[in-house]
Amino acid sequence: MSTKVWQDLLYLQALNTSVTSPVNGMMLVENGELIEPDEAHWPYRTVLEAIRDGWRVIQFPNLALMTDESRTYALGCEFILERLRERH
Amino acid sequence: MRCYPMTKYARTFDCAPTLTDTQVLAFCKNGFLMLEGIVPDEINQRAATHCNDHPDGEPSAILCESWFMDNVICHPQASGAVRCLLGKDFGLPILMSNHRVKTPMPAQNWHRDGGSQFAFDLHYLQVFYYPEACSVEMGPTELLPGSHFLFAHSTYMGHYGSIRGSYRAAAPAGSIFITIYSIWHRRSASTVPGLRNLLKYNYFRTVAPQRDWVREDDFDFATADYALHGTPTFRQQFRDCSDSARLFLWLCGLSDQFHVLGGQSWPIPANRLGIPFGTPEGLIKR
Repeated sequence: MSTKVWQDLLYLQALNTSVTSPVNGMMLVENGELIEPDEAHWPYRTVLEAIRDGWRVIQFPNLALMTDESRTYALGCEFILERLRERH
Repeated sequence: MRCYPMTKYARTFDCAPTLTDTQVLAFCKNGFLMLEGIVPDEINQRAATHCNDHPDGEPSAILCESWFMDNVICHPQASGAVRCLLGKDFGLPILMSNHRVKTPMPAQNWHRDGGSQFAFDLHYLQVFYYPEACSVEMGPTELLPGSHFLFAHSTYMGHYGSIRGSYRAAAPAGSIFITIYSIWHRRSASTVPGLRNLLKYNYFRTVAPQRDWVREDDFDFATADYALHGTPTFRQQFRDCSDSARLFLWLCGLSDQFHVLGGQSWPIPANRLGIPFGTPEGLIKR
């Protein structure tokens, strides 16, 4: 039986670039499904909590978006994390 | 029926302003204003029937109905708020959209509507009207307070999901909410079967901005609260204050006086012993 590897993704928008910073936004791609937990049910309060649960950071906040002091770009400090799972 | 005089562009309207300084400033901070249940039930029912009889996405003919114009578009509370934000003789809608959806539906992507411009002025408003009640389960419009000050292209918002501080505009029938066009919003996820009508239309400014809404005698530009409360601002600390002050001064016709010195100066909030340094000279109460 063949085994496929699926990639789960976790988008976390944090208050600042620290992994201990509070999370202000979240989107999860798990088992090929988009999942938006209600704020009251977010599985992680910080990026570090997600890392401790096995998520790997694949993109740190893009500092290139923060070079213009006159304009605030989007939600700010975004971490993208992945977790691989085997699917039979 | 009232008279809606024609200009070269569209019908215009004027009425008594209803918002105070504090309420106009709150609109600047949040980017929207909810007026719950202001339209009479009889009108809501007629509007819902009209939507069902004209189920297309742009039922603009409803703007030819005097009962709709008088009780929705020119409703004293709604048009009074528009009057404060766009000035006298504002342009009335000539296009009606209906975001009519069969529920349940997943949430839409966050977006700013096409044509949005990142700016610290206000030349038009986007307004929404629920002819029927819209509960949280029916997928009301979700708005992100203060997001009219966050620059992003809609095509780069698609991966955002649940955002702390977002506001779901669940409201009774007859509710009207007024928004800054570029505010981030989306249809939220709905979980029950049904049909949701949501009428959307724009008003336009025809005159230069000035502070001709309901003035508060004790309103003080120097010490007014320009901060966005109760939600993350997604900006650098105190940037929310300067953003809302800049827009508020523009609405007052005082944009030439706007200047932020920096540091602990105006317009950031603090327990000071005197007038904040940096307060524009022309705004200091004598």
